[in-house]
Amino acid sequence: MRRVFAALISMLLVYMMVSFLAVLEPYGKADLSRRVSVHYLAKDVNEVEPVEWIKGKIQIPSERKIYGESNLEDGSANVVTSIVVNYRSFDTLGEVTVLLAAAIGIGLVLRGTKRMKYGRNPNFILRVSTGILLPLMLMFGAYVFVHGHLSPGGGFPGGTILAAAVLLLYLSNEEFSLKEKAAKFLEGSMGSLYVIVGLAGLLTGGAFLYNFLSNGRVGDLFSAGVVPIVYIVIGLKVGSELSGVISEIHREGE
Amino acid sequence: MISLLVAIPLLAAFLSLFLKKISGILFFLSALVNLTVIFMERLPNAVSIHAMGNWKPPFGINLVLDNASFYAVLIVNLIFFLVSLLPQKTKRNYETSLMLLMAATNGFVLTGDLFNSFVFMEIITITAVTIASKRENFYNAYKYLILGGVAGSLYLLATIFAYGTAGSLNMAHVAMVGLSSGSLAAVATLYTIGLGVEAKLFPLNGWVSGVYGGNELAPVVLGTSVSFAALYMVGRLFGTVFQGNGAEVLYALSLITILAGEFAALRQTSLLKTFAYSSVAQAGIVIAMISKRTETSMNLAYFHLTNDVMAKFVIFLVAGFLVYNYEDLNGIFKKHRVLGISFSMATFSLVGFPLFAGFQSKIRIIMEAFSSNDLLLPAVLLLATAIEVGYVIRWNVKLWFGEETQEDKTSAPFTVGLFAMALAVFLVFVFVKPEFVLSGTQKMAKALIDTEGYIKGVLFSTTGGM
Repeated sequence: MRRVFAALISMLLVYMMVSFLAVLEPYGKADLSRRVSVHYLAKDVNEVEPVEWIKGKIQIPSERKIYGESNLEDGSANVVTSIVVNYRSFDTLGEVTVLLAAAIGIGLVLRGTKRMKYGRNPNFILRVSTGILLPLMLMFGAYVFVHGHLSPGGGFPGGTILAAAVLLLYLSNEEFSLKEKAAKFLEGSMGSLYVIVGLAGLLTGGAFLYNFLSNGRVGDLFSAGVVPIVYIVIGLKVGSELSGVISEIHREGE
Repeated sequence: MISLLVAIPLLAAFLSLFLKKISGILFFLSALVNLTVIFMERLPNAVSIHAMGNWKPPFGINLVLDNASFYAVLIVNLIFFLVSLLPQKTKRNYETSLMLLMAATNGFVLTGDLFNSFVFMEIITITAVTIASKRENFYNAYKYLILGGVAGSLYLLATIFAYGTAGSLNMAHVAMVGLSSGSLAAVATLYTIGLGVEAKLFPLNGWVSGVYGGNELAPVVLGTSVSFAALYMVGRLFGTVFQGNGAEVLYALSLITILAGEFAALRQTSLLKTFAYSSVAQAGIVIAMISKRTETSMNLAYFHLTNDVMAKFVIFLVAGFLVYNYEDLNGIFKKHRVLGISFSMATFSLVGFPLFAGFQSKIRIIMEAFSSNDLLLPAVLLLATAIEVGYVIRWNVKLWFGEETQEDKTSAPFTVGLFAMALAVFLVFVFVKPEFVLSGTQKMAKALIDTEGYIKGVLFSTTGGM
C-alpha cells in the first residue's frame, strides 16, 4: 500500500513539474529588459535608478563595458564572479556557512579517533606520481582561486582542487594523517576573515560587504577591489574544510 | 546595523572552530550583542532596509527591518539568549552549530530576497539536523535530513520559477510585478511544500516526533525559535508577497494538521514525543489563522504563536532535563517541585485554561472565527482542545502522582528552574495583561498584510544604508 501511495505521489509531482514547465518562457524568448540580471551583465547597476527602472523608463543598456576600462563598477572581468562575490556576496557568505555546517555535522556523526588503514601498500606508480602531481595540483588550485575574478573558476572549485590533493595524499600514503588542528585553524580564521572583510565594508562604506578598495583596471591581476581577497579566503576555507571532511571519513573508532 | 545580527554570530561561529574552550562564552556574547543591537534599533515603525554591499534593491540583496521582522527577530534572539545561558552540559560540542543556527534564523527572518532566504533555510536545515543528531539520534536526524533536503530543493525550484516570471529575486519587486496565474500556482505550491517541512504542515511533519523526541537540546531550540522563524516566513510569503493567493490550500492543510497532530499526540507514550506532536497541532492553528489574511487573524496567529513558543520552551526544557536524567518518570515532580509547577502551568496554558496566556489566544481565535462566519475552525479547535485536555491531564497525573520507583535525586541546574518558573509566571502575566504581547503582534500583523507599504519601503525609499 505504501508503495502505491509513493508511486502516486511521485506521479503527481512529475505531472506538476511538467505542467509548471509550460509556464516558463521558451529558451531565448525571455524579455530581458525587465530582468535584474541584465544590469549585472552591463555593469551599470549604480547608474540605474531603481525607481525609474522599475517604472520601465530605462531600457536595456545599449553597450556592454567589460574589458580594459579603469575603475569600472566592481571591476572583475568574469561576470559570474561579479554576481557571486560582489552583487550577491551575502549569498556566498551563506553558502560558505552551509559547507561549514555540513562539515561540523560530518565530524559530529563520524567521531573517529584513529586513521583508517587499507591494509595494502600503494603501488610504486601511485607513490611516485603523487610526488610529481601534488605540487602541480596545489599550484593549479591556487591559480584557480587567485584568478577567479579574471577567468572562469574561483574559490569553490579552487578549494576543491586543494582538497583533491589532500585526498591523493591519503590514498597514496598509509601513514599520512592531516593535522586537524591546523586545518581547523585555517578554516576558522578564513571564515572569520570573510566576515571581517564584510564588517570593514560596513565601517568604511556604511554597508556590509561593501567593496571598499579601488577597482583598478579590468583584466589586471590586482583589480576588482575586495573580490580577489574574498575568493582567496573562500578558496583556502573550502580547501581546508573539505580536507577536514576527507580526514574525518578516513578515521575509525577504537 | 541590522547586518550585525547575522555577522556577529557568524564571526563567533568561525572563531569557535579553533577557540573550542571558550565557545560557550562566544555563544553567550554573540547572543548578548545581538540583543543589544535589537534594542538599540528600537521599533522602526516604518520599513527600513540595509542594502548589502551598497547595491540598491532590487539589484542587490537587502535586509528588511519593519514592524513584523523586528518582533520576529526579537523573539528569536531572546530564545537564543536563554539557550546560551543553559547549563554547559546540555549543549556541549554544539555551540558552533547553535551560533550558526542563530545567524541563519536571523538572516532568514530579516532577508528581503527569495534566494537569500533559501540559503538561510539551507543552513537552518543542516544545523538543525546536526543538533538533532545529539545523543545517537542518528536515524531520526537522517530522516529529517532527507525530508529537509527535498523540501529545500523544492523551495529553490519555487524561487527559480518566481525569478523566471518576475525577473527578480527581491520579495518586494516580485510582489509588485506579481506572478502570472499559471506560475503563481506553481510557486505557491512549491513554497507550501518547501516551508511546510519547517513549519510542520500536515503530510510533511513525520520527522517531528523523532527529532523533538530524541534528545533534550533539539526541541528547546527547534521547537521555539526555528518554528517561529518558519511561521513568520509563511506570513511574509503568503501574506505580503503573494497577497493571499494560495492560502486556501494552506487553510485546508492546516486543519488536517491540527487534527493529525492532536491524535498522534494522544497516542504517544513518550513525554517529549507527545509534546512534539502537540507543537505540530499548534503550528496548524497558527497557519490556519495566517491563511485568512486579515489584520485580526494575523494578529491572533502570532499572539497564539508567541504564547505557544513560551509554553513550549518551558515544557521542552523541563521534559528534556527529566528524560535526560531519569529512566522512569512516575511521580518525578515530588522531587522537583519548581520544575513540576512550571511544567503544569505551561501545559495548562497550552490547553487554554483560564489564568494562562493560552486561554486569551484560543478564545480570541474562536471568537474571531465565529464573527467571520467560519464554523469549521472552531469545531476543529474545540475537538483539538478536548484531546489536549486528555493528554495534558494524563501526563500531569503521571508525573505528579505516579508510583515512585527511583530513589536518587539529581538536582536541577539553577538556570533550568529559573527560566521555567520565570516564563511560567510570564504566561500568567500575559493572561492578565494580554495587551503587552498583543500590541506587538498587532503591529506585526499590520506590517505583514501591508504589501503596498512593504514595496514602497523597500524599493522607493530614499533612505537606505545603515
